[in-house]
Amino acid sequence: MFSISPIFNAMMRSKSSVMLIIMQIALTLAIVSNAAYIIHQRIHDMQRDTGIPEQQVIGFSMYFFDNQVDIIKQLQLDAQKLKTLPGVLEASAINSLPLSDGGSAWGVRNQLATDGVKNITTGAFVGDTDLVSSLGQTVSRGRNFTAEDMIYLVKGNEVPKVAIVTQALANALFPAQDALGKTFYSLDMPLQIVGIVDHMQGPWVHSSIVERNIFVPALSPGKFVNFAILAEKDQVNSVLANAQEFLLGLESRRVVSQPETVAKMKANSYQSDRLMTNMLFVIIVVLIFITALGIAGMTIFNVNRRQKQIGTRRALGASKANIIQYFITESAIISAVGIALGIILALVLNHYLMSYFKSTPLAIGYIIATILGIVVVINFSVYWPARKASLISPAIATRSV
Amino acid sequence: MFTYYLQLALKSLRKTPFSTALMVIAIACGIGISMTALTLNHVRANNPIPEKSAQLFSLQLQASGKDSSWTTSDNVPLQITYQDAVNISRLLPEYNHTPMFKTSFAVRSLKPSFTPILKNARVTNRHFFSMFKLHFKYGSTWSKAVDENPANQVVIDEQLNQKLFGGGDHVGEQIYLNDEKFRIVGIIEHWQPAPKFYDLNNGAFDKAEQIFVPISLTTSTELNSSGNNNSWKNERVNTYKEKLASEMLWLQYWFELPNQQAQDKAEQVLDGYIAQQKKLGRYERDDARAELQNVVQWLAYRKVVDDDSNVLVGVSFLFLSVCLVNTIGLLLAKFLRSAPNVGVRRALGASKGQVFAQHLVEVGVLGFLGGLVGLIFAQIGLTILKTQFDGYDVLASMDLTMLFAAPVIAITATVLAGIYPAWRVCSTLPSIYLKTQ
Repeated sequence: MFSISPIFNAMMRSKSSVMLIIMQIALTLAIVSNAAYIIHQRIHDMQRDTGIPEQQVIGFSMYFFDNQVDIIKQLQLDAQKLKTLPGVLEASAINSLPLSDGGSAWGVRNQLATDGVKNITTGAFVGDTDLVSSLGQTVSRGRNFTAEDMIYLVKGNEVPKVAIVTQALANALFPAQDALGKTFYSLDMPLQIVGIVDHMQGPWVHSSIVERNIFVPALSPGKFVNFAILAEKDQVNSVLANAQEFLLGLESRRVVSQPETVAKMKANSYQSDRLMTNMLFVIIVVLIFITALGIAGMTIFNVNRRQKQIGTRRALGASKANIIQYFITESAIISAVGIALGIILALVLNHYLMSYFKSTPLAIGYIIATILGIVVVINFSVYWPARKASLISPAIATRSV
Repeated sequence: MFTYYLQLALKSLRKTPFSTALMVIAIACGIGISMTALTLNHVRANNPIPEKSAQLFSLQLQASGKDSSWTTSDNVPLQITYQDAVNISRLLPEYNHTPMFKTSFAVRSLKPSFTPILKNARVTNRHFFSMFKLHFKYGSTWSKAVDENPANQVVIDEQLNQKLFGGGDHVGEQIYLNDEKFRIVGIIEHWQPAPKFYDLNNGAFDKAEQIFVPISLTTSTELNSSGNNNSWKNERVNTYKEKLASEMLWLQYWFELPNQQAQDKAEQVLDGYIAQQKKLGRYERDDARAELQNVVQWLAYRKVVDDDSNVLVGVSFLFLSVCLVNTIGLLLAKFLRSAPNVGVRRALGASKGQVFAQHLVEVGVLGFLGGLVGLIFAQIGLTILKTQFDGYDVLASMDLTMLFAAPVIAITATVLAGIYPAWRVCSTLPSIYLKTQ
């Protein structure tokens, strides 16, 4: 038992406050839907399957400062001795660590002839025989490296002959073919694919080539080397605590960094994304809170201002429910206009954001979800003051001020 | 008059504690979040060397392969080769310029008990210190002779001095860098430009190096870059000698060109160098050229203020605008409720302007309170950032500009927001309210 026209008329008597609420709802919708969308994209990236047992793979670097150390021999000894430590499953010297935001990239191609060549950039993991398993990877097809595959870049005239690749790189080099056994080239150096790893992310988490990686069995006597250890799940902490001292005990003419899990490195690499999602999340929460309080405040104000009218309506026979209905309807009209305007604003804002991030357009689902959320919040913040209004005694109408 | 309006304002704000609190909280949230975002952005946008930012120029050479592509907006690589660095450092002797790169050393004092620490070092020439305004606490840079004939000399920073010796003047003493002894010739005061403009490759807010060694040592000591090394050419680089002669890009290069004349001269000389290298057949690109950019241009080119940071500022100011719209609504409601009082005041002779001023003062007080609480919110936000994220110590700190800007922005924004409600209330006709009562 209500009609919109008297409500509408009453609203038109305070145009500016109605306009302000409409603006607030529209801006809230635009900001929240876009912020939620950015958050979703970042979280999606952070939660991608890296293909690595992040908590179990431990990495650290070492720096040999004395020219007298036979570095290659030492690295092999380190790996061998580390494996005797309780909890260490695999260990290998390696040039860079996955998800650490630092590493080396190689340019590779599927053939030497320029006609129909595919030039591809890939993350490159170069290290000892066990480097694949030390990163927690299994060779799903083909074979792992053997001692015969190892190349020691001491004199500079030997080059690696075999490589293991991730499936993503295999697909890029040899689309729609079986890459196993095929030969590709880095510079003019031929490398035969002896094994394929299903899926592993490389050093740069924000890069488009993160899924493309090769493993190469080679050790060089560079001063600066990384090390990867695969540890048993329940012994990670003891390995983290003991590895540094253990290695310095084997050879002290080096600096060994504090070991970290790949999970920790990943968290560091995604730091800016976490900052972005946290800030946007706070903005969304506070924004909804403020909008709710603002709408509640305005309704309370309207209720107080119209006490006499409400009392009169009640005296003339309107039920409590009628009064509540009146305020809910009023807010529904305002919300509808605000939401319509907000959809346009959300799309405009998204257009600007896309020019920054080259991201995909805002999914319509986010606007709809935000609208639903806003409707719930508005109803919630209107209901309480409206209920208060319904309790106004009809007797108030008879009182003169 | 102002104090009277202030009294009225406080009285009026106290009369409606709920809506006052609501407005202050709304403004404070808006200011708190937007100031947090703005601080992060402001530090990124900082000019690290304002006195000389128009005189220091980074050099880039478009000297890569015909089809090489780089991630920069103009497709020019960020670093240069060792050959070019050496050749160019011999040009233009009348101006200061220096090639440089980052390397690492295991550092220890001569005491056998000292555990070596791994430290980044900058390999450069003696002009570095005057060009980038480093101050010496003790000693000075190495001599010109050392830039020509290498000697194991080193400049260290006072923090490292503290670590190695526990502080004090140790010029003339020796330390180990890797397995070689180096003589300390100078100790600088702590130096941390933010952003680290002279080498942005491994993080724009990385720590500055604490060790500086002559670049003339590069060949004899076989120093490698621990920063970025980029290759474009299909060439085998197995030995250090091959690396030095290769087209691998791994050095940064900076010029100090004090005036327009110097800049013109440098451009002219560099053009001559490019032409010469082209003639030799080394530079194969048609658009081979030298690019000089001063510090401000360089920071913009390298996008030190990143997209995320800009978007956060944008979104947080939109958020602030919602908070203000919210405040306008509440103010309007509050002021219109006090319209009968205003009517009486107007009837008793207060001018429109006086009523307007009185209400604006009230709005200003709200803005001030909101700004103050907002500043506290922002400090809490920044402290959380510092504790939750590594490496945000520099980024998440308010400087004086920001500390002043926050309340000013808050008051200005709130007063602007308050103009409409104040105007509405002062333009009410006194007669209406006098009639009804």
